[in-house]
Amino acid sequence: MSEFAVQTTDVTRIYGSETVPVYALRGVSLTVENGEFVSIVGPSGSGKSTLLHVIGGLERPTEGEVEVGDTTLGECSDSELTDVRLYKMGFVFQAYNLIPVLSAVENVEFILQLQGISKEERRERAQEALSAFGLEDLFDRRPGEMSGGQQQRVAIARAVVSNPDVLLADEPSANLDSETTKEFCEYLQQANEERGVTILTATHDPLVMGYTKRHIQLVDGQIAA
Amino acid sequence: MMRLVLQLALRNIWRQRRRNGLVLFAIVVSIGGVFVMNSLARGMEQDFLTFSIENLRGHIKILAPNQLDEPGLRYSIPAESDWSLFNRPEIEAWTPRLRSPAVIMSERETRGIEVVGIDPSRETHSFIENLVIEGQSISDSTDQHLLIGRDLAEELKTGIGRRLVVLMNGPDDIAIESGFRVRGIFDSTTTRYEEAYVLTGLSSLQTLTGVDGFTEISLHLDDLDQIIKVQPLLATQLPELDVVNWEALDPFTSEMYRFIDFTVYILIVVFLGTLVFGLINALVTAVLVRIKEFGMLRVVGMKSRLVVMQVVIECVIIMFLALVIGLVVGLLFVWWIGDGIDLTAFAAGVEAFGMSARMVPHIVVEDFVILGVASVILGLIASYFPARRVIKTSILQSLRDG
Repeated sequence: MSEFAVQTTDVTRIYGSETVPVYALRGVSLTVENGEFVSIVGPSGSGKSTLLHVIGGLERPTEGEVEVGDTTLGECSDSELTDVRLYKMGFVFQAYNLIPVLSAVENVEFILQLQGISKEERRERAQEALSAFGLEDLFDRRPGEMSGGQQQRVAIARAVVSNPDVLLADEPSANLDSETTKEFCEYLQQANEERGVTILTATHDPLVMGYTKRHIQLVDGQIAA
Repeated sequence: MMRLVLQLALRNIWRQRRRNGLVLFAIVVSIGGVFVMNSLARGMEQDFLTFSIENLRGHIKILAPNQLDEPGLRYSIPAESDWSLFNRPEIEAWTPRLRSPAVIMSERETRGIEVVGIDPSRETHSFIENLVIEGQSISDSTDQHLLIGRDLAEELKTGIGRRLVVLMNGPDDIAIESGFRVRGIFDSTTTRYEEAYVLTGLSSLQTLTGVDGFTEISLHLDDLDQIIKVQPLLATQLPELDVVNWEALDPFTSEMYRFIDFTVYILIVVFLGTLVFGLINALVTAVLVRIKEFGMLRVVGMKSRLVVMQVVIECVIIMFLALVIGLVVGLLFVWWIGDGIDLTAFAAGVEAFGMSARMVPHIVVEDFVILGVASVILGLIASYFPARRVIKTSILQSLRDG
C-alpha cells in the first residue's frame, strides 16, 4: 500500500485558448495521507471542483502529476482511468447523480456489478451499506421516490460500498438543509472512521468543514493554506 | 455485464415510454407501409407474370421453325415426335396447340383473330382453364365447334348456335375457308383474350388444315427460376425447333416485371432510408436528454463500450419491436385486402398494361427477410450516432449539460 492516498505535484489546469488562458489551478502540490478526512475550501472559482476532477481522473491536468495510491494517473489511458475510478474511488456529487431507473439497493449494487461481484454478495453488501446509513426501509425505492437527504445517503452508500481508497465529494451539501447536512456529514465521518476511507470534499459550507480534520484553502487556483 | 446493460436499456425504454412509443409508432407505420406497398407491387408483378404466361405462352414455348417471324400453318412440329423428354420433375404440364392468324366473319362483321386448336384436357395452366362460359365449352380435341370471347361476339353481332366463317392460310399458302357453329361464349379477366382468340378442337383443326402436327407446345414449369435450367436443356435436345421463354415472347411484360422487381427494393431503400434519418434525430434527442446520466455512469466506472452498448441495445430493441409489430400490422392489412383492390374503374388502362382489374397483394418471403434484416441493420446504424454523441462528449461536459 502506498504511503499516501493522493498526491498532486505542480498541477496546473488551464482552460480557454492559448491567447486568453484561464488558470483554474496553478501549480497545486498536496499530499493526502491514508485515512484523512480533508476539505478543500475556498470561494467560488477558486478551483476546488477542478482539483477534485483532476484527482478523480475526470479531466487531465495541463501540467503536473496526480497519483492516487500507487497509480500515476498521467500514465493511464482513458479506459484505465475508468478502472481507477471503479476500483479505487467513490464519488458523491452535489446533485446525487443516482441512476433514476434503479432502486436504492440496485444503485448501490451497480458499482459492485461493474466490478463483476456475484449477485448474492453484492446484494448483501449493498443492503449492509444502505443499512449503515439508515436506509434499511428504502431498499426498493427509486431516486424519484426519496428526499434529497435520502438520495445523498444512497450516494454515499454507493460511493463506499466497494471499499474505495478515496472518496471524492464535490459540494455534497449544496442541496441539503443544515439538519440533513449535519446528518450527512456524520455518515461521511462514519465512513472515514469505521471503513478507513480517505475523504476529500470540496466545500464552502462551514458545517462540512467542521467535520473534516484538515482544510486545504484554495485561492485563485493556488493553495493558500 | 450484458444483463446489467440489458436491464438498464429496458428500464430506460420504459421510463421514456411516451417518447419511445412515438418513435415506435413511426417505425411501425413505415415498416407496415413498406410491407403493404411491397406486397401490392409483388401482386402487380405476379399479375404481369400470370397474365403473360397464361396468355397461351407458358414459361417456355417450343415453336415450329420460323413461327416467331412468320406465325401460321406453313411450319409445324411433327406430331409423332418423342415427347418423353418432357417427363422431367420441373415440367408441370405441356400443351400442344395448332394456332394460326385468321379472319372470322359473321353475316354482319369481319375481324382478324387467331384460331387456336386445343385439347381441352391439357389446358390446365392457361387462361382457358378459368373461363366463364355461356353455352358450352370445347368438349374435346375432336370438337368442331367454336368458343369465342364475349367482346368478339358483340363485335360480330353473333351468338351461341350461330354460324361463323373462318378464313386462314393453309400449310401450302392456299386459303382454307370453313364454317363453324358457335358452341359457347367466354368471359375472361381481360378483353384482350375475348377479342383475340377463337378456340376449337385441336384434332378437328388438324383435319381441316391438313397439318398433322402442332405449331407450338407450351410448357408450364413448377418454378419460374427453373427456366434457366430447362430452356437450354430442351434447346439442346430439340435443335431443329425454337425453344423460347416467356420473356423473349413478351418483352414488354418482361421489362415491367423487372421494373417492379427493382421498384420493390427501391421502395425498401427509400422508406427505410427516410426512416433512419428520422430515427437518428429522435434517438440523438432522446440521448441528449439523458447525457448527464451517461456522464455519471462513466464517472462511477462504466466503460465507454458498455455505455455505447446500452444505447445500441435500446435502439435495437425499439427497432426490433417496431419491426415485429410493423410486419404483423402489414400482414394483417394484406390479409384484410387479400381479395385485392378493385380497379375496374380503370379497367381499360390496367388491361392495356397486361394487368387484371383487381390488384391482389402477394407476399414474397424474400422481401420479408430483406425488410427484417435491413431494419435491424438500420437500427444499428441509427444507434451509432447517438452512441457516438455520448462517448464524444467529455464526462464533465456530460455532467454540466445535464
